Amino acid sequence: MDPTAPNLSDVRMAVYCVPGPALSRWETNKLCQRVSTLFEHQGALVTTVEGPAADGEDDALTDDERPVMEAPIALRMELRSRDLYTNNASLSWAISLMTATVLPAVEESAFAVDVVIRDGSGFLLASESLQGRLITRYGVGTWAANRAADTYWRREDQRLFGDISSHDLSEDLYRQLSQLAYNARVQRQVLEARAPAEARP
Amino acid sequence: MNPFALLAAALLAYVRPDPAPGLLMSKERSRQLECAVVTTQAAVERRPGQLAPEGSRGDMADRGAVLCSERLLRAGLRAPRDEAILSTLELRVSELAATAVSVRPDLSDRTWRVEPFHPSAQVSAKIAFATKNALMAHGAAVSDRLVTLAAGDVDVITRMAPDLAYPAACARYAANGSLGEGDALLAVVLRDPLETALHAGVCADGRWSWLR
Repeated sequence: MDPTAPNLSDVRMAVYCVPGPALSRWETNKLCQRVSTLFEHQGALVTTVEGPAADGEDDALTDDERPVMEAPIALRMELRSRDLYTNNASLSWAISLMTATVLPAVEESAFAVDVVIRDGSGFLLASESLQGRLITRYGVGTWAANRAADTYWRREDQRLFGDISSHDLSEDLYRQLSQLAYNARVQRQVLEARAPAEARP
Repeated sequence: MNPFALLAAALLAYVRPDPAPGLLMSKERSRQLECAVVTTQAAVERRPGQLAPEGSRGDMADRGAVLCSERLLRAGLRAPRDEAILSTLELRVSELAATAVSVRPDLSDRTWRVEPFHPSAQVSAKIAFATKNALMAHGAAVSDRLVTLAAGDVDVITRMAPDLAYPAACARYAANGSLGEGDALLAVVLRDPLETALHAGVCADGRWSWLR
């Protein structure tokens, strides 16, 4: 899905970002801001909330957060992060330092982002657990070899140096979140079509 | 061999093979793998002999495992939407079949027909085949016979909005005798060309209802 296309035109959304062991409050705020911008670029009217979604309709929203909510919220997206594992890199660092970092120190971690999307009344529309794994190699050997590879023979779209990996990870996450939100929007339309005529808003 | 790659191979000889992009693994090659992070115990069960099991007193260091398998088809060969649907098709249609059988127990004595609504004929054929298998796995009687509409019906129905088109098609199936009294139709629908989810609706006795 193209996250720059108007996929969610005029959809009213609330994004709930829940801090936890994997994400500090500052990181949670940053994630929420970025996800909010992502959906606003796709035409949605977004409100962000730090904390879990309440059971009732937009109960968690304060008066300041409510102005764009003249119409009912169509989608409530809740984001939670958790660490799956982090390796102990002390041995790797020891070997690396013994070789003057010619051999790299390798740090590895895996995380999951749990995404739950409900409609305004709290009915579950979509849920997914997205997993990511980060490998970071430190050391002059890796730095030199990667720099040379990027400069001399890697194609532009295959380069790894600098913050390209972070950019790739963010782009993957944003595409997945966009697709989930879009699927939830269509699912909501199906549920509305399924509901008896007298029960529709 | 490129001298830089040779040097890199020598430097990283002690590092275990890793599916993440790096000096010896391009992003292109990395994306050709389907990987999942699992616990050591799960990895030992799924790939016996490839990983030492956890000791009775636990491991000295935290260990995790990443299990990877090669994608059957080269990345980019299918449209991304179709890849997303087909890569988990069995699970998706199994859920749809389970929903159909459990939500409509009144149709348990009927013969089920399956009609996929997807823009690609090849993907439609795969969806239909998988859905029939899933229905049979849930104990339903399934027929391969197709439901048909007259050309005039198709001309009218394809101009209608989805909320009206599926109930209209259902009514016409019953009216033209294509879907008899002893039959029920499970329609597997890609409702929007941009979505990657499949929806399901049931048509029986000329009445249409969305399942999910």
